[in-house]
Amino acid sequence: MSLAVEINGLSKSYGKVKAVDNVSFSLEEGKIYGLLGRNGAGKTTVMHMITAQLFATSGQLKVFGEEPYENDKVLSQICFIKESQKYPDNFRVADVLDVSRLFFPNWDREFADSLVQDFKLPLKRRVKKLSRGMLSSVGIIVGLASRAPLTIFDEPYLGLDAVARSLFYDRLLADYAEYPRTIVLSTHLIDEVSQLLEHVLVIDNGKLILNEESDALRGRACSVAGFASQVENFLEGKTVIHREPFAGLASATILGHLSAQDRKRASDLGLEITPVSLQQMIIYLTNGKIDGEAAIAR
Amino acid sequence: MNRVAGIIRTHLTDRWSWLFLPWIVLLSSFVCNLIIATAGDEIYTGGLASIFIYMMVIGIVSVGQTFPFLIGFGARRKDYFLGTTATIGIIGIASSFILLLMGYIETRSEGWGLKLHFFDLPYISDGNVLARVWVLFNFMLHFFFLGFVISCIHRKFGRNGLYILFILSGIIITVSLYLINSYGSWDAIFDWFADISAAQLASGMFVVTLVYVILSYLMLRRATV
Repeated sequence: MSLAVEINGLSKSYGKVKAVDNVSFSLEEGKIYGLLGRNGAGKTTVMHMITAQLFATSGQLKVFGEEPYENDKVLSQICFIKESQKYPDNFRVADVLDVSRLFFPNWDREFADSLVQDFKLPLKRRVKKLSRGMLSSVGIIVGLASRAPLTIFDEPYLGLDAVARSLFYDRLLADYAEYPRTIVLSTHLIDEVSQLLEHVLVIDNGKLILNEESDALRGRACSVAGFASQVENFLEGKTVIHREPFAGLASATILGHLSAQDRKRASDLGLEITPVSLQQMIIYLTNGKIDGEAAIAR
Repeated sequence: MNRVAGIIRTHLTDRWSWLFLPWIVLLSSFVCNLIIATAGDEIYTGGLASIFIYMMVIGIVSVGQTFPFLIGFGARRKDYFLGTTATIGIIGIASSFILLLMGYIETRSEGWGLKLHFFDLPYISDGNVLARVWVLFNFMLHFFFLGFVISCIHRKFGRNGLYILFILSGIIITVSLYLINSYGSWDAIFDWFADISAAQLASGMFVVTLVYVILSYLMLRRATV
């Protein structure tokens, strides 16, 4: 399996603040990744460094086997759609799409046109005058129609309603099936995208705290609920990442697989076991109450 | 090379800023001068400067408008720089020929029938066709890159960089004015300028422009979005 991105000990500091702290991971070609984490965790900084828009303080970074900085061969294979993408004031939507053709070798005009219809974008309107949601759609259209071997969406749908978002997911999956490529999605709406993601990376406080296949991850945590005393009894010897007492009742989230024996014991104790969503799990992990990596390693 | 062409196309997509506005600015100045000229006197005007000032403005504005956009779209900094330089080169040459043509029309029509000297000015229009184009072209280029280098300083070093630049240039200018005054060298300076031709002045400007070009390239290479 060849690698789209290889990152080794990557750091970025601003004065004393470490925005990205010794992060290492790699992205395989032809997979959909989720890069998740809270605001200011360092996700955008990492993506900016992958695309050579920011410079790393230290560490190695290879994209398609080469350094991306000033490397046309690499840069022309990347499409990075960020929430803060700037467009020239006088550009209309049509101008942005025209120009995209010049920068993305796999640009598919027809696909772009059909997406413009889907998202009901006014081609003649200046980008500056678009609403937040429409501006996001411009980015989404460029990102999808560029068919770049490495396509990165950073918070692509600010201001988009649920209908438009699900349209984005549908088009993304359909086109991905036809033209496989590496896709990185960075977002807060974890539950919405969790079905799409094949692999999840979580960054917190500039550190990578989770790097795992999402299938493996789904069975990783569960929550138990029941009478407080019974729950406490059951929790003994397990990694608890969250506890919520409620009168005489309690619920707790446990990290790690439950064996058949565990499940039987739980039902004997009258406890209810429910799966934990990816979003819940990441919230617990990034709340700073527990060292996520250590917990996962168990 | 393909990428450079893409950058040029991107710049010129903004037809309004690059193709229309400079001439609207220049022509409005021209029309004002025409109206004044109908009063009857022979007029020499510096209205031509408006297009050069506009070039400085577009030099300042274009970095902020297009650099983050194009770097965000995966352009190399080097290609951005080459493409932008090529764009101003093309615009500069085309505009110089148009200005030259207007100058000839002005001469032939005896100042548009009103003895107005707007495009065809003494000193600047001295010399043969090549010299005249060289002068106009260098004015365009010089002012564009003056704006461009200022904008690059802002991009690389932020607002504080600009403060330092302006404070430093303020000090340098004040000190040189003081020295020239106290040594009574004004006459010598005026004589020197009177001795060189407009084309020679333009060649000197070209060297200064090259310095701007090199400085802005060095700054853009490490500029972030």
